[in-house]
Amino acid sequence: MSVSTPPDPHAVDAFEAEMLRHLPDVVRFARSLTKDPADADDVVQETYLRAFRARETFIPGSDGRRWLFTIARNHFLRRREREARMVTLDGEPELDAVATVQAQAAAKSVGVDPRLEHPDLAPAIAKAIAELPEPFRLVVALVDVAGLDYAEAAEQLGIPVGTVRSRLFRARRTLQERLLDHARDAGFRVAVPQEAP
Amino acid sequence: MTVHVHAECLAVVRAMYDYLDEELTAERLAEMQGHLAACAGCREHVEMARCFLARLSALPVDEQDCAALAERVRAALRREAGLPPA
Repeated sequence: MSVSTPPDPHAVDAFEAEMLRHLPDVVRFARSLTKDPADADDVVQETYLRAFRARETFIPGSDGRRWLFTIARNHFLRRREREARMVTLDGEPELDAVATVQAQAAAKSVGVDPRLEHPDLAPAIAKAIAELPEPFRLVVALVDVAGLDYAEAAEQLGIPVGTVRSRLFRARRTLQERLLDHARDAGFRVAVPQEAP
Repeated sequence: MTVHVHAECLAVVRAMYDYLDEELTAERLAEMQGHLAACAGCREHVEMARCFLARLSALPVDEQDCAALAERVRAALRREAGLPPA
């Protein structure tokens, strides 16, 4: 769809000045939504085109970053609706909690820094997010990357708040386990303080 | 690896993300704070989770990738607006 008004370079300039500064955040969000960086770039470009077409609906002074996230998410979800599939999601909260404790204890027992402070972990985090099944990746993208609260994420996804909560717990547990495994395999250990003489 | 966890501690671990995301009710928050004040093990779990979430929400993106993508978006916007390439 093209705009029906005559070409207006000032409209493009104004839109770019207002919205392109959020591009790194939109990229981060899109990459957490999709598995593939090239797909994420397509989502980013389409997000900006849709935002430009709908620019008159943006309320000046409101949160442009959040507005772009909403457009990106809607575009992504609509695209994915075509590939709808069944996924077994419901877990057992008690087992998730036990697994979390076990993963942290196991990492600690072999000396891995469970705070995951090593700077080289960023690529591993991105990879671990990309490998999450989509329903879990979506809640991580909405809550951890876009900063929505549980109720907002539930509304966006059309699922109950309790489902957001359980998916988020499962997703974070999975990510934490994978990162602790990665940290252990890569030898990211806690420095042992030397005793004072 | 077998780990022995007190049932109350397990409930705290189960609720720790609600706690960190500020999604607990006032009553549940008070219970959580009371337990954490008395339990070093749970404080450690919550601290680990806090560090993990901080890493998760601050993933870096490559500046060069962003610059290239910004150029691509600018070109697409000009096409969309019916303007010639810059």
